[in-house]
Amino acid sequence: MVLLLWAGLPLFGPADLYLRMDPMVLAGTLLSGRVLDGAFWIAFIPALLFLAITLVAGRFFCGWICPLGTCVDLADRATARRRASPLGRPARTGLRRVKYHVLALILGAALLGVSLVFIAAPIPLVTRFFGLLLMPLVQVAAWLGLDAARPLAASLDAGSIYYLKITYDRFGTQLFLLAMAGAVFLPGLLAPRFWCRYLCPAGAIFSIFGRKPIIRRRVSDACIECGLCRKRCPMNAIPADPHDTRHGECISCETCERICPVAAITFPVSGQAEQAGVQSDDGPADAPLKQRPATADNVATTKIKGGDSGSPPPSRGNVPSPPEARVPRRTFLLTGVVGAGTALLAYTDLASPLTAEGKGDPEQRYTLRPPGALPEPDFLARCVRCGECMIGCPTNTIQPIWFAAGLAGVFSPVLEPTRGPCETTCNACGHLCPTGALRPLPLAEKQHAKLGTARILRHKCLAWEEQRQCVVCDEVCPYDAIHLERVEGNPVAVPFVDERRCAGCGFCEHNCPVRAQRAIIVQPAGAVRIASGSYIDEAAARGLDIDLNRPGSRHPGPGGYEGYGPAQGHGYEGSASSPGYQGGQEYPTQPGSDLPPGFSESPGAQGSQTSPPYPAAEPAGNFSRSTSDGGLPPGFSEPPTTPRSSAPPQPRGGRAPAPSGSGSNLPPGFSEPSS
Amino acid sequence: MRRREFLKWQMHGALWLAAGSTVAAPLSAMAQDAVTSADELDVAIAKGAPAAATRAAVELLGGMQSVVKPGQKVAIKPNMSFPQAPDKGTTTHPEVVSALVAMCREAGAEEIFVLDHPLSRAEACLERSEIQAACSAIPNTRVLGLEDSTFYVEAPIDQGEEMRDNAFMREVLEADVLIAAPVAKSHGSTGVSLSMKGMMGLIWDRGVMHYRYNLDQAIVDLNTKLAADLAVVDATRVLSTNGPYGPGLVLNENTVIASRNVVAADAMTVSRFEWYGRRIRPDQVGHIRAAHDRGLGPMDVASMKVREVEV
Ligand code: SF4
Ligand code: SF4
Repeated sequence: MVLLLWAGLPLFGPADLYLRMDPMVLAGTLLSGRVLDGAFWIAFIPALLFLAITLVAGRFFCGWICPLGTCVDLADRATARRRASPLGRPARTGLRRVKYHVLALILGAALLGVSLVFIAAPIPLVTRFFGLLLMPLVQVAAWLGLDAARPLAASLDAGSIYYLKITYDRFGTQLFLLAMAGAVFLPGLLAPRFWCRYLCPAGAIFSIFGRKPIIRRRVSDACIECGLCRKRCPMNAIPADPHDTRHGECISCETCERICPVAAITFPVSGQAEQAGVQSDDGPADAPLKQRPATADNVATTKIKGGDSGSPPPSRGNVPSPPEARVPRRTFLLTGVVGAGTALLAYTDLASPLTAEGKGDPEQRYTLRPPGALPEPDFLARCVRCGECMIGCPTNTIQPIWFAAGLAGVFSPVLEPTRGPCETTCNACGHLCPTGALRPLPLAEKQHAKLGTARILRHKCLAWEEQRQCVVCDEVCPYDAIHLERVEGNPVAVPFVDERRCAGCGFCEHNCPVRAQRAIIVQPAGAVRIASGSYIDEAAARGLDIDLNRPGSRHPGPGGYEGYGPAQGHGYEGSASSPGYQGGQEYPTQPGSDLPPGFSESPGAQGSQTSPPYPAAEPAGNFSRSTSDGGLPPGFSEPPTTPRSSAPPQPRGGRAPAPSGSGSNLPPGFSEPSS
Repeated sequence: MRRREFLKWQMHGALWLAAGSTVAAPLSAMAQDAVTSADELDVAIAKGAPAAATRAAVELLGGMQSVVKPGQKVAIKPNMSFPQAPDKGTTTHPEVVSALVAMCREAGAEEIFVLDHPLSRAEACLERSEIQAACSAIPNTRVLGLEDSTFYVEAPIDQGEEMRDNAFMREVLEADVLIAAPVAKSHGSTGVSLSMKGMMGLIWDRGVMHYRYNLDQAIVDLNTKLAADLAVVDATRVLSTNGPYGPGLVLNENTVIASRNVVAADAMTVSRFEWYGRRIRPDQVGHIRAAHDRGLGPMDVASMKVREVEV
């Protein structure tokens, strides 16, 4: 249980350690991400270690380490009473193969660079289950409890309780998480450890590695063949003959050792009990995908049984069930192909961000990734959807998505600025990511990792569209990327975003008071996504000007504050030349007012004394409202008072020439040289 | 733990004494004067180090005991809405806040709340503004950035013309005394952000003031409900441009401006410093103008009774 909490609470320890133990995460990411760098191997030393241990001690991980296994055990205990009658033998034998198919499917897709690891890799499942589903439930319960306890705390003068701050995370895709949890735990009604026995792809890998462990179950001659061990084995690892063991299934939980009435079962190091026990653990399904460990034991049995061909005859003619589930090579390959097909499907998904963005790509709206994310295709290939970044983010801005980024992007993390901004003082997510899909950046680097660019939707902006004093975006922008200007015909100064300064942190979007889509939104455009190297250097190379500690003091020259004047914003150089910045030309400043932003002249000349009046309520039932149009119903109109012929002739099939003040009749796009 | 707190408390006590003694000298000379004229005084201005100037300005107005009575609950509203160090000029100087808190304690306040509804994560704001640390050793004092809606209660604004209700911090509604302690800074949409604008940090729904009401009028509405008993404007540093977040030009003015009337305090602050490298009249600030028109206080600095002192 402690281990479980550990996995769910990143703050209490290296939560990603578990993720780095998962061989499915290792294998899937290795293949799909084409990762060869040393850092990756170092990060996955735990998984390699456990694979090595498995060679020696069997599927030890599943019984002793895996938090999902523990959860399954707990769930099994809860549902044990309701368990249906045990599955028939054919069903069990067939089902045992399913996990290899799951493995093949994931590896097949990974071969083509699509990571489906998230479907079934056990540790990501468990981190998501705890971090995204259970933790928020606990948090919200605590929050509600605290809220209920507050009056009491107030009456007891217990301020430290009253002002205790508890927040709870919220996540999208809750139903999806619930369904996945159901898929893992509910089959426990059919058989104990159903998931581990039949479905888990990491179990399949361990199974392959753990066919011939050195430390393994031995049954002595004392065995009275009562069959109790076979009944109690949670993994169904004991075939009809209780002397036998399916080592690939045995998770060394040692249940059998404990319950054997004659103490015939031990788990010694191989060779010690060699003579004592009946030596019969070499099933025909030894057909190894990987090389078997060449222990003396192996060599010996191989000699006796006469080779290790793909499908040797059953070792004991009188025992019908093969001790080990055969690794179904042909069908294994087939599922691999199916996996590859799934990958192809993911590529042809309209929303797929699997290839570098280019012509004909639909707009990628859902690729606003956390800081330090690798370039999108690499990122998706490496991300195992464990949810650690989402769990660890203090502002809850990192959210899982469904299909918004296509099949390949299911459950991947995106930023949701309306939920929270990306804190300038935080770099947690990259350090929680187990696979390096998010790079572990030092804080200074992270502060330069541009996430996207804020854009003002002028038609929604209170200042631009409704001429209201607002500019909350300017108020909250930590990077000073928003500046205010006065434009003609508007009594209030309006905001402009300087793309070179904007880091995409989302403070502006988060705080914008406009609803049902904010009037300023952060889009992925312009994000700096690099697989290696420094973000600070990269930002400089791209001509960005991202700076949290911009020196502010600019002392007024003799003629006053030299920067402020019409059309010059706040006087910092270069803003007018930044890409996309059009304020200067398009919106000439208001000639009458040269006051700095926010100030206004006294009498109502500015028209901002009261808010614009709301349309008066319609008198109910009055349909015959007469208007200046002569009371015509909608759609009708009076004939124009001027004769039609006086209208300028329109070029057939073309547009009327735009009225132009300067008398220029150049085609669109051309311009006279400025005098 | 306890011992450490005690030591801290002792240290702070010593600091106040030191601050007090520097104030005492110039003050004693005119003590007579100050006491007799305190009632008629509109604005008190003190120049000097933050804590000392704060004390001096409040003393000129008749001392904290004229505002806070023993046993009362006090709410102080500094600006601690930005996760920035004091030298950026975006938050109230921690020593101004701690001096105010200490004076309230000396006047017998039973409970003191230092409150804001920060724009960034509260922990970061309270820590980086150094306000929490400055007040941590003073007993019966809580520095809070309240980000949870449960701390706010709906209440009407009886004299509101546009905004007629909002949700207010419970502590503020229950407080006997409200003290505005803003930092002097410019603001892109309201020109300046001082005592009156600062009251937006005591309510839950600020957005509505932007998207539904006229902001200037709504600020005045808010100040009819949250009428501060004392305004102490921290102009030790003045963020003269690019407020409220900066970075902007920070003028080191070493000044504290105090008044029993928020409009007078704000108007005096506007007229006393440069904004964007030029002089601005208080009537060029929409919400000050509106507050004056609605009779909340004077904005004509020329006709105010002012006392100035250097410490
Ligand atoms: S760096 Fe930003 S996105 Fe990442 S955990 Fe911190 S706040 Fe969240
Ligand atoms: S403009 Fe850019 S840097 Fe500024 S708050 Fe918005 S997203 Fe962040």
